[in-house]
Order: sequence, then C-alpha cells, then structure tokens
Amino acid sequence: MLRKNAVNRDIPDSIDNRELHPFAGAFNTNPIGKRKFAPKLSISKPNNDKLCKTVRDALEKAQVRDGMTISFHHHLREGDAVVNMVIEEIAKMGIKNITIFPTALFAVHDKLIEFVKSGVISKIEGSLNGPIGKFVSYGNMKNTCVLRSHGGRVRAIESGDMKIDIAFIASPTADEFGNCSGLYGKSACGPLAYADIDSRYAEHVIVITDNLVKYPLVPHSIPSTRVDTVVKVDSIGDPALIVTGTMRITKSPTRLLIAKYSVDFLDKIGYIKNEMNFQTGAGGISLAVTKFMADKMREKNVKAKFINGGITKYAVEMLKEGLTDSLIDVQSFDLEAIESMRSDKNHFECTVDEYANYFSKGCLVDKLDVGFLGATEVDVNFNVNVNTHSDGLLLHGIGGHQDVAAGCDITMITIPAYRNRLPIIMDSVTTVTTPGETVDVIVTEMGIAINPLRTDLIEKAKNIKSIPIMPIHEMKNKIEKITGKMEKPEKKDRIVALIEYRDGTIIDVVREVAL
Amino acid sequence: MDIKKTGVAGSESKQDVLVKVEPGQSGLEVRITSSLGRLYYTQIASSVDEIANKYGIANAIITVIDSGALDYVIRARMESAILRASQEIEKKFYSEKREAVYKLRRTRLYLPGSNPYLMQGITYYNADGIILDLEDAVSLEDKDSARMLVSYALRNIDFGKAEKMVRINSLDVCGAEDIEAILPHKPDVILIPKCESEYDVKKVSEILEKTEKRFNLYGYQAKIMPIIESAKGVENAYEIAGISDRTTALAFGAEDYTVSLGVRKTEGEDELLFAKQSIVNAAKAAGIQASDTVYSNIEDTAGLKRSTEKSKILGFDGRGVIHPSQIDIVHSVFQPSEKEIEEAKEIIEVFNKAKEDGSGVVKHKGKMIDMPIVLRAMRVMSIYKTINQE
Repeated sequence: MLRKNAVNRDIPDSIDNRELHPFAGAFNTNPIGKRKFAPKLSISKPNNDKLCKTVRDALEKAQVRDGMTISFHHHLREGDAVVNMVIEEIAKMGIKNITIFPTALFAVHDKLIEFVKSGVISKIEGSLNGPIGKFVSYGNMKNTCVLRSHGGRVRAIESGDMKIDIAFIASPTADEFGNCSGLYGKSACGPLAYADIDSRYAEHVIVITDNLVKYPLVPHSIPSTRVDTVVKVDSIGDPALIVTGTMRITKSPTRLLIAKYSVDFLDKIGYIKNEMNFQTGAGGISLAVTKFMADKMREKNVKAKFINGGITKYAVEMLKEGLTDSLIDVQSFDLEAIESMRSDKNHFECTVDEYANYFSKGCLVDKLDVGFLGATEVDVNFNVNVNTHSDGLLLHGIGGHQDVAAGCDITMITIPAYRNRLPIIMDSVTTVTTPGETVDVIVTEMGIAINPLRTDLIEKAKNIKSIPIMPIHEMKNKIEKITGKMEKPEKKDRIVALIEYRDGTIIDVVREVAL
Repeated sequence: MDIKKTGVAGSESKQDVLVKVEPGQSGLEVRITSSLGRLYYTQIASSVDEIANKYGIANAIITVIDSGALDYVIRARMESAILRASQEIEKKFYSEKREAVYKLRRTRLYLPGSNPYLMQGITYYNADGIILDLEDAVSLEDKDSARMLVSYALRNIDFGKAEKMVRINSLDVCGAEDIEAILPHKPDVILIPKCESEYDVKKVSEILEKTEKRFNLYGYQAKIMPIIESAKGVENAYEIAGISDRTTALAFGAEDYTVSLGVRKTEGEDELLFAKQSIVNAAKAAGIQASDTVYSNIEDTAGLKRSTEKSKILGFDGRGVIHPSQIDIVHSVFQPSEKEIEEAKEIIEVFNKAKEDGSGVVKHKGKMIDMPIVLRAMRVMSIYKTINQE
C-alpha cells in the first residue's frame, strides 16, 4: 500500500522486508526512548599484532562471508583505489550478495558495475553517481538502493538501521597499532571525518594504508582502540586525483552573477557582520561565493566566527587574512587546505556526527547562519532535488544537503536558471531530496526568490533595488519562456532507490526509467 | 521549394544544434536526436515542421542533432540549412517594434555572432551595449548562418537595458547582405569595421535608408558607429564622424591600427596616443561620442583598469570589452567619483541660486564658473542618476 508523505509523495509501507516510515516534516520524528546500537566488546593485550600482509589476509581474518555489509569512506574521492581493490579481492574469494555502504561513490568506482552483474554486490546503500546511478536507474540492481545524507548515514549507524560487518578505512598514514591520520603521506587527504562513525560502530575495522609509520602516530583522527587490523599496500590511490590542483573560480558570467547576487543579498539584509558564519563547498558557484564573501567582509571590515564545510584554498586564505577566527573542516579539497590543517591550530577537523547528526544532542549545522547549496531542480514549493536529473536518472548523492538546509538559518540554493535547455524551476521536482520547509532562498541569474514561509526575510529584502526579487512562480514562468515546457520522462512502477530523510523517514522514491 | 542538394547549419557544441537538410523522395523524413533525450522531442519536431512548411518543403530528409539548443537557435539553424540546401535567399522575417533609446555607452561587449552558448547570458550581462559580431569572429563560410542566428537572437533574446548592436562586415566583403538580413530585427546600432573615409559611412547610410524603406520600418532608424582602425581612418576621422546624422559615436580599433603603422602594441600605449586623441577630438567636434578600443588581455584586470582610466582622461565615453568580466571594471572607472558628484552638485546648486538671484556672476569656492563647467556638472549628474537607476 502507498501512503502520501508530508511532501506529497507516495511511499510504500515496506520494501525488501523493511518497514518504511513516510516523511512527516523536518523536525517531527523523534527517537524517544530508543537506545543506540552497540558493536561487540573487544580486548587489548600486549604483543597484539594487528598487521596483515595483504587485503586477502585481512578479509580472511575478518571472516568475510556472503551477505555482509562492507563500508568505505570517500576522502580519497576520484583518486580512490581502495573500494575497487577490496571488492575485486572479495570477488576472487567467491563471496556473493554483499551490501556496500560507502559515504559516497565516484566515477572511479564504475568498475563496481561488473561486480553487480556477477552477483558479488547485491545492494548499495550510499550515493550513486554517474554510470552506477544510470545502471541502477535502468533497473539493473537486484535490491532497492538507499540514499542518505551525511548526517542521516551517521544516524542510521547509531540507531542500528545499518549494521556494518567490516569497515575499510583508507588512511594516508597509519601506525602498526591502527592510529590513523589523513594529514601526512603521499596520499594525504586532510580529515578522516567520514570514517569516524564507521570506526566506532563496525564489528570489524580494517585500516588500509600506503604509509606505515612506527607507533605512536600523533596527532591522529582515529585511535587504535577501534581498529582490528592494519594492512600496508603500495598505493591507496592517485594523489593527483585525491586532491585537485588549485581549484579555479568559474569564468561563466552567469555563474559569477549568481554568486554576486547571493553575497549582495546577504549584505543588504544585514547578515554580513562580525561573528557571522557560513558553510561553503568546492562546486562551481561555491568558490566564487567564498571569494565574493571575502571581498565583501574585507570591504566592511568584519570578521566571521567560523567557516565550515568542504575547505579549499579560498577559505584558507580567509583564515590567514584574519577574515575568520576558524575553519571547521569536514573534507579538504586541495593541498592548501591540508597544509593549513597541519600547521594552523585554528583549522579544525570535525566528524560527520558532530557536523550533521540529527539524532544527537547538538550538531554544527544548527549553529550555521548561511548555507550555500546546489540543486538539479527546485519546485514552486521550494522542494529541492539533488539526486536525479529531469530525465529521471539517478546521478548524484545527497551529501550534506538535507542536514545543512534543516540546520542553518538561511539556506540559499545557488543555481543557473537553466542548464542546456533544462529549466531549473518546475511545478514539482522529479525527486524530493530536501523539503521546501527547510529551503529559504533561490538565487539564479534572473534574480532571487524567497520562500513565503520566511516573512522575516521578505520584510528585510523589501527595499532591495539592485537585485531583482520575485515570487518563485514568476521566476519559473520567465525561465519557461526561454526554454519551453519540458515533457515528462517515461518511468516504470518498480522502485529502484529510496531517498531517506536525515531522520530515517522516507522522503521520496526513485522509479525505474524506461530505456 | 525543392531541396536539390544537402544543406548543413549549426554545430554539435553546447546549446547549439546541427541541422542537415537533404533531398528526399517521399514526404518529410525528420530524424531527431537530442542530448536531452525525449524531454523536448515534440517541441523540436514542431519547430522543424513549422520552418519546413514556411518554405513549402514537401520532400526532404531532415536530420537534427540537438545539444540543448533553445527554440530560437533550432529555428535559425533550420532556416540556414534550408537556405544552404536551396541557395535561395528569401526574406521571410517579421520584426517587432523596439524604440532605440539613448544609453550610457561605457561598455560595448563583443560576442561572436555564431555562438548560441555565449548568447545565453545576454540578458544578464550588464554592458551598456551588446555587439553581435558578424565580422572577425565569424569565418567566411559561416557568414550566412551567423547572419541568420543573429537575426533570431535580435528578435528572441531580451537585451534588457543594453543597446542591440551588430558589427557587420565591410561592404566589399558582405556588409550589404548583413544589413539586408538583420535590419528587419531593428538593431539599435550598426558598427562599420575598418572605416577609412566618409564614403564608407555614406554608402552604409544609403543602404540602411533603402532597406528601412523596403521593409517598411516606419519610425525606426538604425544608428551608425564607425570603427576607425587604420592610419588613413584617423586622418579622415572628422569627415567620418560628420557625414551622416545617423552616426552616434566613433569607435577605435587598435589591433589593425598598429598593423597599419607597422608598430607593436606596448604596455604604455604611447603608439596609440595620437590616434586616440584624434578620434576623441573629431567625435566631439562633430557632437557625437567616442568609444575606445578593447583591452585584449582578459587576465590582466589591473592593466585594464589603468588603460581605462587613461581612456577616461583622454575624453572617451566608454570602450569595447571582449569578456563580461571586464564590464564591472570599466564601469567602475567611468562611474563619476564621489568627489566629482559632490562638486557637480555644488556647482549646479550655486548656478541655480545665481539664476534665482538674477546675479550674472557664478562663483564656486572662489572660482568663476562659466557655462561649459555647468554643462559638465550636469552631465556628471545625469550619468550618476542613470547609473543609480539600474
């Protein structure tokens, strides 16, 4: 049976024997009385040798079996060699039907498709990007996939929805006792924030490194107390792809205009002031936003309390220049960010639990003033889609989108009015990732639309003349006039993926796309 | 119309569409593929049909490879492909009315007339004028399809407050055909490249006159901006500026000018000084505006600022720009400074007061103020007010 959830989507009662709860509103689900899941206790003895020579040895020590859930983190991004290496080994051992539970996947993981076809992998709970997403969209995965936000993934682990049998932690540097750091070594990636929760809750934790050092590795992000096994390999990834070179700000005039409108808007409504803070990223428009924020803050002589998110050299420069007291870093995108984290005591690593976990006693997103986020589509109810494209294909993960939107005071979606010919604003998004009640402002090159729920912002923006401010319906019509009205893609009934909200309820489902 | 040979127009690059029209035997056979799958299939098909019907094409194979083109681009490419396939040049345009209004001319942005991807931002570039270029940015074999695309762009894209400008080719290349094609879509200003004598302007002016009459474009008059880009042109600048009352500004083109002198462009631009001053002087003597050459190093924003400050000192009203990122920098230079605005306000105030008092002597901070200074103050205020309305 299907039930409508709070954003008007049809959600089945259950799928793959899992009972589903429809999304009930951003803050209406509460785990009162429930306790956290706990992994088994272990013991620590002198002369405990954790080193294994090969991935195979480590997998055998962990007693890998059919049907297990294996987790990975994505700090190595496009450079990651670990996911492919481990799954290949598992395949060689004849293991079948495993669930992989990554914090995110990248194009480099396209190889997994062959292991889905051969039955080694039967389910993915995590982001589905590019070709794997396409493969799943056409109905090629046996089980239903589940997508979660960064915070939602932590919640799923803590509450026992997801039990990790084996966690693989790629660590750019580790000692023989299992202490891990992402700050050093040829494959340095900065924080190991995504892996923290896996190391706490997995039944068996395997650290895999290409830079083995003598105990004690200090400082470390993950301590030896949570690690069963350490494997030394030649390479955990391609350093050139783990961190990009110097990231460049977009040259596209429309994207620059969007960034300019975003910063000007915040300035005009009085948000650019001492002790402010904001969340930023490394996407095309984000870098421009960060730079324009710096320019504006310098001009007004104000200093932020903190900047949070994916950190790049643009944020690092702000710290060095004294435009912010601190950087709170969940992932580092370039060498400058890693170097800063090594050397500057005001550049902190922040675990994803602390960053975004709704089932906690207080996570960082709730202290954010402004979050700049992207989208593939937005609708007139301010619902945002980041997962699917207008043709229905599942091509992106959720990232921290739901968490930041729910937490921060002003959620700004910065997007071009149309990409190729595809309009960004529609009557109803293909997939709801983030509910409209948590989204405040849409910024396109056409101007700004403010969520009618935010009467305070509408009031503050009343006298802005330098930026076109219009109702979202008007913006939608303007865009449609340029692009023409789009047709609906053909979809089948079968559900190929669930979009979980950060509280564990189901906000939408993704259906199979007809070829 | 019969399709007797193959005609191709457009490209497979982003936001463009490649249309191929070939002879066929049994009706219209339309094959459409799109990077957006079937999301716009019906609309693309209906636009293709509509244009085919307009030309009365009964038998043809039409292949459309779309890379996310907007509707006006699809139509332009379709018409170009048909015309290329039939070699018939027919005038089938309908134009809409748009009054040319006087604008600030701090910046005029060049965009290639053959690239729909760069055109998508026209509405949002805040340049005072946007030039769709049919000349140097377009290769010889693409002149016809660029003309068609520019015609469609003039008609379909919202230019906002920017003046619609088109740089045509010289008359000895295909300038007359350019005018013929674009004029029904009422560009505000026609830029004539490589102007060397008054004759060049006179000839274009005559063609404009005739074409406006032929298309019954009542109440519309295209303005002219000659571009002077040779030693000879500089010598004849005053005659060029004065020959036609359509001429609204003189523009300078430094690249070709340095070639005609046999020198290289240098950082200090000493080699350009004579030409710049001659052009400003000729323009002002003829009572029109002067627009400086482009600054070709996009990366060097500090250099652009310095060069533009010099343009302003020499008396230019603005300059050409080749990338949208240059616009704000140029505008900031031509924006009157706070000091200038303050001074202008005071001058106008004392002037008005003197008028009220019936006093013949106007003094500001101990200095005598005469009429040209008052006029300059008024101009500063009018620029300031126009900018602040934006």
